[in-house]
Amino acid sequence: MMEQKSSEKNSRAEKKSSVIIRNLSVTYRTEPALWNIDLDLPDGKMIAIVGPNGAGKSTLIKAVMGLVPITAGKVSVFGKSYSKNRNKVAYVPQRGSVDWDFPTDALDVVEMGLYGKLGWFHRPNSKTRDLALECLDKVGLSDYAERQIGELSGGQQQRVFVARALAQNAQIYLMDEPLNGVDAITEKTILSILENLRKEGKTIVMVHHDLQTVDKYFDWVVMVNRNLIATGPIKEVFTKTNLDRTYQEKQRMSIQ
Amino acid sequence: MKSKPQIKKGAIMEISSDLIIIGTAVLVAANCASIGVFLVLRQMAMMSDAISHAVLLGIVIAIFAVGGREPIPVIVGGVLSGILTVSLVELLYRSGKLKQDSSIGIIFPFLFAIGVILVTQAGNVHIDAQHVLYGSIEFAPFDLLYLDELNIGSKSLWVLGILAIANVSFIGILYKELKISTFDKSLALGVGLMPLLVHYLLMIMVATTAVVAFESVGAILVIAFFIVPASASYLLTERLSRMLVLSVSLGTVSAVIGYLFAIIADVSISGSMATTAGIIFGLTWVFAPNRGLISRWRRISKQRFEIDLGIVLTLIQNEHDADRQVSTSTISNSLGWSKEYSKKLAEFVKAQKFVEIDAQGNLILTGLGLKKAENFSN
Repeated sequence: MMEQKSSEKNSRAEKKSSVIIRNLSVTYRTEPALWNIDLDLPDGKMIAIVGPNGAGKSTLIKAVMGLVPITAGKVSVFGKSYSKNRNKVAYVPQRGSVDWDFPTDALDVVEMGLYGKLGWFHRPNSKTRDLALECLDKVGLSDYAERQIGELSGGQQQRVFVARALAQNAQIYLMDEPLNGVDAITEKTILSILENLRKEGKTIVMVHHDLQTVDKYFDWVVMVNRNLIATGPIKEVFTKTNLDRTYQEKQRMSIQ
Repeated sequence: MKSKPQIKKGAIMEISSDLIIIGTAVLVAANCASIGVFLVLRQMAMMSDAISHAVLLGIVIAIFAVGGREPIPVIVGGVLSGILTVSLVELLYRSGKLKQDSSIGIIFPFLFAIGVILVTQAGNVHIDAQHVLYGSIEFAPFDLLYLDELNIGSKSLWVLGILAIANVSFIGILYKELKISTFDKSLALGVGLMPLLVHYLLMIMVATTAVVAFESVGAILVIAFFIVPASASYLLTERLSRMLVLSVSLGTVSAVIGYLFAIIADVSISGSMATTAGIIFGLTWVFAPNRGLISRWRRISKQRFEIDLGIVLTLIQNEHDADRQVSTSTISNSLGWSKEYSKKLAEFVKAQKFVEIDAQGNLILTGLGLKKAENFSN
């Protein structure tokens, strides 16, 4: 990737962005969840999406993948609609979004990350099994491969999800609060894996709750509260003024 | 309802008609139990209830249209009304404030009720309310299929056999797609495996199975075969493939035992089979190795005992540190436990060599006990 000389100039325009969002609005029932978002997510960055509860953080990444109906606006992924480039995007949903009593084991869940590449009707085979095991090993859970997923701790379940995303071998990783409520080992494991992905030039977009660690873990931030409040490199954008604007209650009212 | 129509038959005919009924029952149970696994895992039990009722409308309309109960028009009619049910339910709960269960509760009685009205207007067409509600598996041996006027045997066995092949193929070919869309719909959508399409295909199979099973066990009891064996097997295994095999096995066992009981007690066959399925579920719920009631109780009391053990050892350690002796009565006094329970614990820790008991009846920690106590306090 090219480094630009005039770094103090609008850095947003300089970066190559593969996820481009224009005039995006999402409405649940009558309430707007996201309002007129214009956003480019730069390639090869660790990007945090921050904002208060109900600010539309999860909705934003779901909208990129078409998991929520878009009321207005456009999202393009590598220049096309998401459905044409879905194999370049991996998604780590919130842990609570699935039934952990489902009769399956950790390895099986990771292998599901490869189902898309297998395509319709093709059955998983020893190759996908090995690949899944490799990914499970990367998150330090190869000993738990045959464990029923409900018997895993919350942190281990989260790591299984991350391993599943690794199996998808994507360019962009969209993650919905993977560090929420996990143990220290899980947090460390996930972060070191993401760091490696970033070194390979992959883009990581993560909904993040803990404001204390934003400048430590990430190099880019997106601050939302239904509107886009600010976005850019942490150093320039993650300021007290912007935080106040993001987290003040008035922000929500101004939409109406 | 009587178990069998009283028609004079020869001994050979008797045996073969029993076999036809058992075969029909087993195939109904196996068909419902296999597809039912996905209904249970998708938390769609009520949807199968809705579909199995609503198919009545399509069946009756088909019977009116062709003037008889030909299998193909009946199945097509039933499946169409099943799909109509699913679509209307989704339309209702996606468009407004209504939850899915309310939407189901609105749509299926409505469609079923129209079917009921039509049935009572039937007159010249052979279909009656009792048949609709409880099925008529007893008549299976007398309902024969003809190919160019050649008798090729029991209609129910043919239809259910073909359905079994269809269900096994459906699950076999789309196993991966069914699994991923059931476990994580958003992942399935994300990787392009179209969970909505899979959902509708599954609903078509549910409706087809419901229509065919309807003839044998009726609109009310069919849900027992969809949901009960699958739920019991859910308590017994932690693998989807095993859950499918177990569900079909339990369904089959329910059908056979239920049939035998019906013959002995001279009661409704379909009622007896559904009751057996319920009893098997009850036994599973109590005795299942990991998720059963007893094993849950055992686990909890074992955990409680472990905790109490830690409390006792910590108490002894603390008292020792304060240079005080600990006897069984110290335990019951300071922890508020009964004398018997304190004694039981004291004997247990002695048997485990965590403590020794001296001549005065005082408990003294061994090296092993000290280690264990430290494990607990950390």
